Amino acid sequence: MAEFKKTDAADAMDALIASAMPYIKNRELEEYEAADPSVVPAKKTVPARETREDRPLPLFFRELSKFRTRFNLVLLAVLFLANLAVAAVETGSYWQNSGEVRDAVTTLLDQYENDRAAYDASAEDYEERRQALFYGRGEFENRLIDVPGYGDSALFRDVEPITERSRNYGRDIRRVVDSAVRRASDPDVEKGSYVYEYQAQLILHYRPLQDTEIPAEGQFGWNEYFSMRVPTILLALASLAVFSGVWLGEKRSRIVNVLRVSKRGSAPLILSKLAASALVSVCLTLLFTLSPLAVIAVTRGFSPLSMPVQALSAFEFCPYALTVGQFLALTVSVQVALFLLFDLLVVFLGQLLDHELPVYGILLVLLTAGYWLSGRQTDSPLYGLRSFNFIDLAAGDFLFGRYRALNLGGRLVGLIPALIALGLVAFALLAGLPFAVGLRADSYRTFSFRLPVRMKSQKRAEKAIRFRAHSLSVFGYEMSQSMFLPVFLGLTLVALGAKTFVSDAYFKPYEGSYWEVYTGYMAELRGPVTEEKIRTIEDEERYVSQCFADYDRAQAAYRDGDMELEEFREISERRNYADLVQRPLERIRERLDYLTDPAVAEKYDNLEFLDETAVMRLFRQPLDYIFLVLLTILLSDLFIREYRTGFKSILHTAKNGTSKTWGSKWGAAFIGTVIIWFLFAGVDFCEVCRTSDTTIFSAGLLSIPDMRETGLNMTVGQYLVRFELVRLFGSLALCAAVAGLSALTHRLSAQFAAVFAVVFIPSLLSTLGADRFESVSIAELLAPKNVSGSVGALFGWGAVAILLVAVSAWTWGKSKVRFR
Amino acid sequence: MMKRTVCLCLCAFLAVLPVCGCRYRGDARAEIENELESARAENEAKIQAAEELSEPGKTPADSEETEEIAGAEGNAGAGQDAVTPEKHGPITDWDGITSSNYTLIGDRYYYTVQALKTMPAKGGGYTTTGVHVYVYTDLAQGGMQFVCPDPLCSHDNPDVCPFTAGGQSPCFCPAEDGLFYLGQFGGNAKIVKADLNKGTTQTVYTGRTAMVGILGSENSVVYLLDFDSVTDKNTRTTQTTYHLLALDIQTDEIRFDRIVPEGSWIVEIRSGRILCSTVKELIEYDMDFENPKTVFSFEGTDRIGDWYYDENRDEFWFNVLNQDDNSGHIFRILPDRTCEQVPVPADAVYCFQLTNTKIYYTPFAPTYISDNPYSYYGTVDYTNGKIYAVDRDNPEGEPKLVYDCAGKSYLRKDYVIFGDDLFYGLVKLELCTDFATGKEFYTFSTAGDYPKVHVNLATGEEEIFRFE
Repeated sequence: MAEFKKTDAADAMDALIASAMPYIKNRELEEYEAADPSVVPAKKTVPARETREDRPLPLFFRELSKFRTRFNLVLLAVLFLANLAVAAVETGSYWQNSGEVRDAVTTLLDQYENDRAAYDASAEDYEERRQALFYGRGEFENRLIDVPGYGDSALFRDVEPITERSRNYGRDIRRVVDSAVRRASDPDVEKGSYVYEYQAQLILHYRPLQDTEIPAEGQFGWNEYFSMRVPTILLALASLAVFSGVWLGEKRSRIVNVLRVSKRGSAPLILSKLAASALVSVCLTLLFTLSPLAVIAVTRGFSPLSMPVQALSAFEFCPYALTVGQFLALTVSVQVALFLLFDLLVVFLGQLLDHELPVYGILLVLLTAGYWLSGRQTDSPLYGLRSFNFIDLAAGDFLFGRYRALNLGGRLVGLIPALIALGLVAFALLAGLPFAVGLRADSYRTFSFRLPVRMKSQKRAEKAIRFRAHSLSVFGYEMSQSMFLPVFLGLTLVALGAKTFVSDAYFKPYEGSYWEVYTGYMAELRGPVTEEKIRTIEDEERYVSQCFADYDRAQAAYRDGDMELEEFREISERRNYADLVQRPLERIRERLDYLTDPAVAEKYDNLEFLDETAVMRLFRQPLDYIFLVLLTILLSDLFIREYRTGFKSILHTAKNGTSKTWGSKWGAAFIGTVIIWFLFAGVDFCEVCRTSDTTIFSAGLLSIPDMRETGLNMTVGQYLVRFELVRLFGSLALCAAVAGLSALTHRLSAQFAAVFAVVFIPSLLSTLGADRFESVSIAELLAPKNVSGSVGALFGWGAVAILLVAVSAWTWGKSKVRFR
Repeated sequence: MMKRTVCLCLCAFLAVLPVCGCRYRGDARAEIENELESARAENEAKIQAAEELSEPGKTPADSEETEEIAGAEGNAGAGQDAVTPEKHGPITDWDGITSSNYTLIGDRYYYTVQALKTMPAKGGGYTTTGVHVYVYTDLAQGGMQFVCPDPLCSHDNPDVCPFTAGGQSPCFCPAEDGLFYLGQFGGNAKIVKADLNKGTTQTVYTGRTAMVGILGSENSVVYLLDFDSVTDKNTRTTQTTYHLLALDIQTDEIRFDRIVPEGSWIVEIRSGRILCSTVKELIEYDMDFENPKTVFSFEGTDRIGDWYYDENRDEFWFNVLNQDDNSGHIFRILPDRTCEQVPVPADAVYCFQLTNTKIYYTPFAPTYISDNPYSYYGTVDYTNGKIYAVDRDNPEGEPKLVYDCAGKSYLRKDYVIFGDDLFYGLVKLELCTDFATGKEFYTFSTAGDYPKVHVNLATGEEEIFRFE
């Protein structure tokens, strides 16, 4: 570290910076100049009477103030509002009547506590009404409470688990302890082994809880709060956007090497950045994790914080004697610690890499790996690592919901101590590595992928010169810049390769004898239902039952010596065949019954036998995230690059720079989108053709029982065309959204945040099970479940697309470049 | 200076805190260690008492000596209660008897119960799924325990609990190196090896199809049965080939893969011999399926019912039954490979169980209940709910009625008796409708969750084990 101490040379450098100052009008440098007056001693003199406003901010506060950019504020406001909105949507089904609901629950629980006979009568009455409804013997009538979104069913669904836990908690815990004692005292279980130690830990943790009294009191709000997973997703997105730029400002303005040699530009600067990031991280985590409490307080209200946490259904087996308040403090602390590490990792990656995109990429890979890890099944060698996935850990309550331990080669290590140890190591690394990287002379060139000049061949350079933009029309130039840049072409090819790989796995035919026989039958019966085919099926059914009957008779004949082995073998093989085809044949019979059902046959045309497996996979395909991400990357820079390079102001004054360029950009974007859609749809279509009989396209759509809900009297091919047109429309809407936002946002980071908010978040949330987001998600168009049901999304996204195109025209025509 | 002092104090406090916590935990842990040590000693005493009791000539009545031993080895007071030989009778009565009818490892009787999980369906309403879960009853201690060693596990989700079964029947096999069982996590059947000490599971063999059988284990080898088939659409025939696989439990590799002779299925593999059944006869082969020797020939539409191998006397017991004429008899193959009928006092035997001292059997007593479109013979109660016992050494002696359902429930051939403990699957009659014809009929229902009834034959107490 000695070489970084203030030396004469460094003083000289400060003087040099001071002399260069009039030419480097950079916000960052001004800030450091203000934060560290000693950097430019030659120029500035401190006035005799310095006002409070003039006084420079300490470095830490200066770093802190950098988070207060307009982009960050807007993004955080959007995500924060989304967080509140999700909490409101998830818990607000009866918010106007939450008081009545609380009263009803409390009354019923009081009845349970003080007048058990009356409670039992109420429960019995409810059960009778429910049974009557179930067996279609009458209408269900709410008698205890009847408000919008909440009735007797919901009331008993809320109350019964409370009374059940109040009665049985002690018994359940004793069962756990007894079972653990029994298992650990089993002579077959070695002392010191994982299983023994695990049981001992269970006894240690749960025995003190077995006398805990769980009151039969209403639980309001807490179950809903602790089960919410959306805040952590939004928080992770906010963290990615906010903290990835901590170093990139300095790096983009190429000032970091200058800062390195200034007095406070290295270690103090790094320390300030880390400290400011840590403070912002803590504040953000608290903001996102605690803000739903305010919403739930309105929509549901809360039961007392002093209630034992074991009273909540999800935490019956929490191994610690905690109140809900203590549990809340603990989970939020875990989330704060975890997101602190996550945010420091984002900061560090931002310091290490040159751009936000690789930072996003690495972290998205890490998060996806965690999600993938959480889905490992028990026979997977990675099953033991499930506890380390970020998705579960970030929820906070995961660690305290029940006792958890790690099995390291048959030895027990408690999950919490292990995570604390790992967390401390990670913290030390994430706090230390920025200094190690920041103090290295070549630190900011570490991950540059640019080739050294000497490695570029002369020939290639000449080629590059020959490719001149002015030789192209405006539209041609835009095409070459939007879609046909070598890097974009490469990216498209990679995405196409990934799509082919994924599609190949997705459309892979089912394996196993059942499917083999079924597809064989369908190939044989393919086409309209005819008398001959009906006879074939009936003949096969007769043959199957005959085989079973023959076998029983042959068994006796063979035993009695009335039948030769060869004949018996043949009959046995026939019986094996009957065994094999019995179930597929039943399915064929079901299909025949469906196709000959008068309700279907008289109403719809071209009903045929067909194996719809492949085409149904296409119609039920989940949202193609490869396509989504590819279009986002290709189109996000469409308008932004003109703002970023400052070329917008030149275009603004040029003859073809406004409307023609605008039109060319949109033309290039739409044509590029259509081409990419065509390629991706082509991959799917090829897979369908490869794995299915293509003649089924001429068959009636209603030949497929699963498509009955559409009620469309058309062929499979016509439906396929309609389906693909909806997907094409969805792709164009996505193009309009991404490119339109590109014209509005002017900055890549803002662009990605906006696309995340508008396109990805609803899609992700609907994928994660938040059904309410399905209708507003672009997935409704890119992967429609039913083209007849996509009308709302078509109009909605169509309007959004037109609006964004129009707004982009207005923005492009009026906006000026803001130099940074 | 002040800052530094505060920092130092804070560090010291943080350092001492875990030490205090460890000390507190350490005291509690020591108490638990002592308790577990006592419980372990009790269990060991129980086992020793059982071993003492199983010595030739000993009966539960003269087990005072055993109690003294147990009392001396266990903790004061605890050992006295622990030895309960009266409750279970001679608990080693089935030692050396192997059967495909039940899985008994040590004193643990393994079976499955079904966990039913009702969840809201995506399209509205509710959907119920069932998962078969491996459980056991320790005959010395009673009760039902999950094989999964985690008391906090919900046991109803194959993604989380590795001890869920591929089917209703338990398929278990103990070996020196762990416990092998049939598990299924979607797709082809898997043979899983569990280490109940380390709490780990590992797939050691994946079958060609969704079904693989475990035939037994011997000499560090677990025998598996797998199959594949070839279908000829023109002749509408299917040739099925069965494979006998030997899985080496040390290396988890397949030692050999031999094709079972056509038309045969393996009944038992013991001491270098394979007993196979065809529709016509029982044939004994060597381990290469060479040197076939017919040991029994079936008549008419007779088929093999239950079978037991008695290692102690090297005898193979089985019954043949015929549902066409409601006939059935018990046979045994002696060490010299001769076969003889065992004359129990019943015209026809529906099912039986063999122990070292007794033969439990149920006479064929069919009571027709209703038609059943899914069963050729209709819904028939074959047992009339009765189980008799005779001495093995005097099978023609006076039979003793050991259990009678007396119309309370229906008894099928899945019952097993260990000493005074009887287990059978609980079934109820359920009224169903044939969708094809609209006709109503009765069928036996397993109540959805395949509960197991446990009856103490000495006291008549009954309890039902089911997934809770």
